[in-house]
Amino acid sequence: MAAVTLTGTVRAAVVDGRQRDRRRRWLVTVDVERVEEGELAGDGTTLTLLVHSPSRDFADPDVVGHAFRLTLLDPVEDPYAGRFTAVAAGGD
Amino acid sequence: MHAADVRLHPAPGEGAEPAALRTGGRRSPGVAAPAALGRLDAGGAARLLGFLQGAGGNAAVQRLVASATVQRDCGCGGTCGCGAGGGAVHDGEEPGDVVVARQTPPVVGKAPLQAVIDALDSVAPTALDDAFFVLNGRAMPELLTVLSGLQTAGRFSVVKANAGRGGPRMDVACKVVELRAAGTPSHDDLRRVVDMVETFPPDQRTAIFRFLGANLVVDVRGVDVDVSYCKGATGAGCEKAIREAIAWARKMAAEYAACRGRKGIRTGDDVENCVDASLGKQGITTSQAGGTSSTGAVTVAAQPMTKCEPIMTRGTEIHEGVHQAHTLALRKKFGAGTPQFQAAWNNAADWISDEINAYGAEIPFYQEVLKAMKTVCKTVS
Repeated sequence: MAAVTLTGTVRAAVVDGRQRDRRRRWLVTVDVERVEEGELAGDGTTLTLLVHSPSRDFADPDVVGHAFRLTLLDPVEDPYAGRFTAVAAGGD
Repeated sequence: MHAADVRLHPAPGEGAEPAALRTGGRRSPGVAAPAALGRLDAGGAARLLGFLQGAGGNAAVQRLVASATVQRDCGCGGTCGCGAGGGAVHDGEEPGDVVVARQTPPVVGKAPLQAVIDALDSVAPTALDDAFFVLNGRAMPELLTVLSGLQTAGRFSVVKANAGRGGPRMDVACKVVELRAAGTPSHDDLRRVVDMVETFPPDQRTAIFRFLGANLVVDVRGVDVDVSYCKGATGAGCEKAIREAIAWARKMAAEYAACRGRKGIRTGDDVENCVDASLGKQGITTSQAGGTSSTGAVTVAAQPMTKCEPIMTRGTEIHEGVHQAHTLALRKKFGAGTPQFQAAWNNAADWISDEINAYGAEIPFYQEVLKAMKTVCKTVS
């Protein structure tokens, strides 16, 4: 069962200087446009994901500035390091 | 309108008084001190810029604001220009302060050194604040040059005595200037500096060692390998961390390879689960505890730079470059978002090969850095 489904645009993808996870070394910041299902903590306008690879995990070689429909499959933490699916939203 | 060291910090909701601005590098008698002004809110900034526009004309305001955008140093995790209102944030400043400072003072037509000397000549505490502000707003090579000039001009002792007010960058810069003035720094001296600068951005480290005459820098795929990555007087060098990164990349490539062809592994998720399970069996944890805020708010705080971070960051970028190129190639072959693309992208065998290639690409980079370090670190050992 999906915890949260949302649409948003990737604002930034940067290497995590803290290296909090050796297999997830990128922080991807998403400006949340709409939460379709579930609930985000905080003000719900931004989501930060800890990912292995921005291009691979979003299936997009250039994620910044692109909109996606994200489904977060695990409980949402900050930053979110769980499983998720990303599908390009609004054309590509 | 002289703007070499203008600092604008009125309190929230409090318009800046024109008389509070310093002119000619000296404060006019009887005017309010900038230190008493506090922070500038958006309305205050607009009123103040309006005043400057009236007093100095559009060109003066444009030069003033444009100069703020070229400040490179800031206290917000190495990303410049992240203060509110487009102002740069400097060492010792809170992100959110609106700060307007000049990198160079073409408006007053003074050399940076003279502007600072003027500030120090009226040596009231608030003038010193301004002097420190001006100095801290400079790029490292220029900061070192100005400090050297102050030393020659006999004002250095004042700056040095108050260096703690300028933040760690100023403290270190003062020590470095003193060190060079004392003669050719010994290897022991240089190793002490290595420890001092380990949290500095890499370009600042390079500027400091260049100033000290330790000029040897080897460019390894965009990373300037200089003595700042070597062993310091007390701190470790980056060699161990790099060797660990090589070992980790080899291990992960082997872990992915071991999942190839296993029964039931068809998708990328299957591959990741296979690798997770294997690492779990070996008792290997890859994530650090913590990082979740109690409120749930998204708060990925800026962290100080670590000594070896530029190297590890580049390694991560090289890894990502492989994934990026592969994703692009699949898109070109199958079309973005098509079922064929999705099938190829999520194919277990393809996923495994992509990871092996990505981890494999990191290794020669780290090896090149080690080779460069061997050469560079000889100069301080």
